[in-house]
Amino acid sequence: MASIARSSLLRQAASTTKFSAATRPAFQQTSIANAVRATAFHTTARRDLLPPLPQRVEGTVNDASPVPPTSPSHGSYHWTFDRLVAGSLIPLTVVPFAAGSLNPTLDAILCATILIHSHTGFQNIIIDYVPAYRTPRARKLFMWGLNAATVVVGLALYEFETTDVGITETIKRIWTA
Amino acid sequence: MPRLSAHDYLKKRKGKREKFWWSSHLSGDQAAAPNQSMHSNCRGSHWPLEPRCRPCRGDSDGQLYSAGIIDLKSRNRRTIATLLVLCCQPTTMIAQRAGLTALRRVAGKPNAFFAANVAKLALAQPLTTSQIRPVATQKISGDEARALLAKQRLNRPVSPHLDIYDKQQTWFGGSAWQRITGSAFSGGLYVFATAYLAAPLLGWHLESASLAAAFGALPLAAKGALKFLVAWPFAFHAFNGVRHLLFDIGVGFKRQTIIKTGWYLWGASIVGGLYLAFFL
Amino acid sequence: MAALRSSSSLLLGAAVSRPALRIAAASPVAVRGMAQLADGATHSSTAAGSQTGAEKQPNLKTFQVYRWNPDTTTEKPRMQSYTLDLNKTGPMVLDALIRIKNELDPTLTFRRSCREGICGSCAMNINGTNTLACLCRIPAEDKAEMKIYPLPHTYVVKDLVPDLTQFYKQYKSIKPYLQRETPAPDGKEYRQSKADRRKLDGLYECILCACCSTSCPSYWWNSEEYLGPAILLQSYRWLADSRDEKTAERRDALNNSMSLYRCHTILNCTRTCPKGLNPGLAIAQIKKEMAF
Repeated sequence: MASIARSSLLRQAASTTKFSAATRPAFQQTSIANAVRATAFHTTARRDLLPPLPQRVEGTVNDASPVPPTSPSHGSYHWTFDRLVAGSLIPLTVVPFAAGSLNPTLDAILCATILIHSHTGFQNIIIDYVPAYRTPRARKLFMWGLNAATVVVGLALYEFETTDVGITETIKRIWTA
Repeated sequence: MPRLSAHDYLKKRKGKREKFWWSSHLSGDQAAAPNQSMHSNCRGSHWPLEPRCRPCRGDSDGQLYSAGIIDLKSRNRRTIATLLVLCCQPTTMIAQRAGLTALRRVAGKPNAFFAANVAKLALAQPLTTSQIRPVATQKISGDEARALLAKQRLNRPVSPHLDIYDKQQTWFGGSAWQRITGSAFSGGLYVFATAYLAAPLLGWHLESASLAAAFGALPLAAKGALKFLVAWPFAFHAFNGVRHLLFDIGVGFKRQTIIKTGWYLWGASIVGGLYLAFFL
Repeated sequence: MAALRSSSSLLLGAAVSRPALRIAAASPVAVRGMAQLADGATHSSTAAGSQTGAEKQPNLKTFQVYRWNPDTTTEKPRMQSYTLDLNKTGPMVLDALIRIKNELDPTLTFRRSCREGICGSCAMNINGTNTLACLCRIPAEDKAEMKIYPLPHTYVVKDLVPDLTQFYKQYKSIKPYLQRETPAPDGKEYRQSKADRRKLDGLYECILCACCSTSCPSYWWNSEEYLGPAILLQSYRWLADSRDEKTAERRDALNNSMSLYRCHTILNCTRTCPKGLNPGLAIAQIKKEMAF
């Protein structure tokens, strides 16, 4: 199904909005003729990025859906790692502002953690919205694009940390400017 | 494997019309093309065969009904026939059916006079009499039935979702905004960092000193607005991040807690954002 | 439900004295009750007119129902309005739907079976949340229209009937049955301590109505690969079962990026479950047990 941010609605071309009265049985004719308030759905035009595909069912209805191969590095390890990074961000963000002391090492760790957190966050977004079974090439492109971007940002942050005053101090200065 | 249409089978077995009148309430256009809609003959209303009535809820029944026939292994005949009769009970109540029995007897026999007057009867009587319609079944193989079902599936619309689902849970959901605020920050960081790396080449000044100077030169209102615009998503992402970490260790899953913390989150993040923007 | 029979009883001229039928029975004319298509006033104006003398003010409520007919695939889905007199309708949304089908529009299609929240057939989206029509009261004091849709982001078979094939295929893929090789110690039955049995409370009650799965945006976007709350709750039901011996295999089957970890604790599932279960918590437990 994998339809992101797009309307539900319907792939059918509305070639006719009138009911084909002649082919309907009597009770339908009478009831539907009266149903002036039966409004068609509006398909907001061309908003769909990845409109849902027509329904296809692999195998018969009695076959189980396939079970993907086990890969903890994309599953449980990844998830646990994500949570640890997210959890460690709490003290890392609070400490430098609360303590008022600006330790360059702490600042560098904060930068790296934020970078990893952003990277895995973007990964999740790509996995959610660029489905591999449907758009495998776009998926690959996005993933490698993200990897490249993260490397570039890592370089830039290294540069910023080493040549400038560090991210905490920068935010502090801008905030109090 | 003897193959028999359910209609024929029941006719042989019972010889009573009431038992298989399900097959006769196809509407006229469906009668012309009896396989177009899997639930049109049973009208989607199934009595459970087993407590879950599972065969009637997936597509397995679709094959059955859309084909209009079933493969009957002789030992299974009774079961399947019962299934058909049970599954195809309409929502109509018994009393109403009793009231219509006489009418149905007439209608059961394909009769030119009656067929021509169904419409008039339907108009004249407030009760819906138009369920009674003689219909033909046709025999097709299992493969054909499956192909037919696959073709029907291609036409199916996807029911509306984001447009109609409770706005409080979709558009104001903490999880969605966690992603929005997070990707706004991360996206901002990625854009800024890339620009910072490219700045010497392009002649931009993105050092902390020039940034602070540029920000300090803004009017007070703009400063406050900009600060709040950054502080609110930060507060939201931080508070909701803690909330999600608590979820991950299994805390706060009561329905009322979820709803309440969802609302507190908005309040707290706005207050927190205002504090960060104007009192820090 | 008694109201549903009123029309036919009257047609038969039967003087029924059930309390619920008192209004209809008091009127000598064969009426269909107040039920009418919203704009079908001309069609059943006589029926409506004969009702004005009744002692009770009609309590009208409009239901907007999603309609789509597979026989006319060129037509888009549409919303159709039906107005019912709540005085003559049962308290639940399913009662209203059944009454609409019986008295207004026999083409309206929906699944229903037990009418008491145990079969899960009548799961649908009512006023924005997924629930069972048979367990959902019609808010009588609220005059707003009720909107009824099929379960969100499902392929529609007809009107309110979604195709749950994928849902059941996924259910089958988690092997929802006891897997065990060791024979029972007493050769009779697999025993379980009371504490172990208690772990299954809140899990075994799931009726697989698909309300939670189809409320989950993650499942909307990735139902091909993500299992969805209902199936994961079932999966946890077998993971938590002390008698099952394939716990490790079951965990391995979930340990990939799609099957389980597309859950982002949105928790629409817990908020929508018509049986009051907690699929969100079950998924959190699986994740917690699989961490490290």
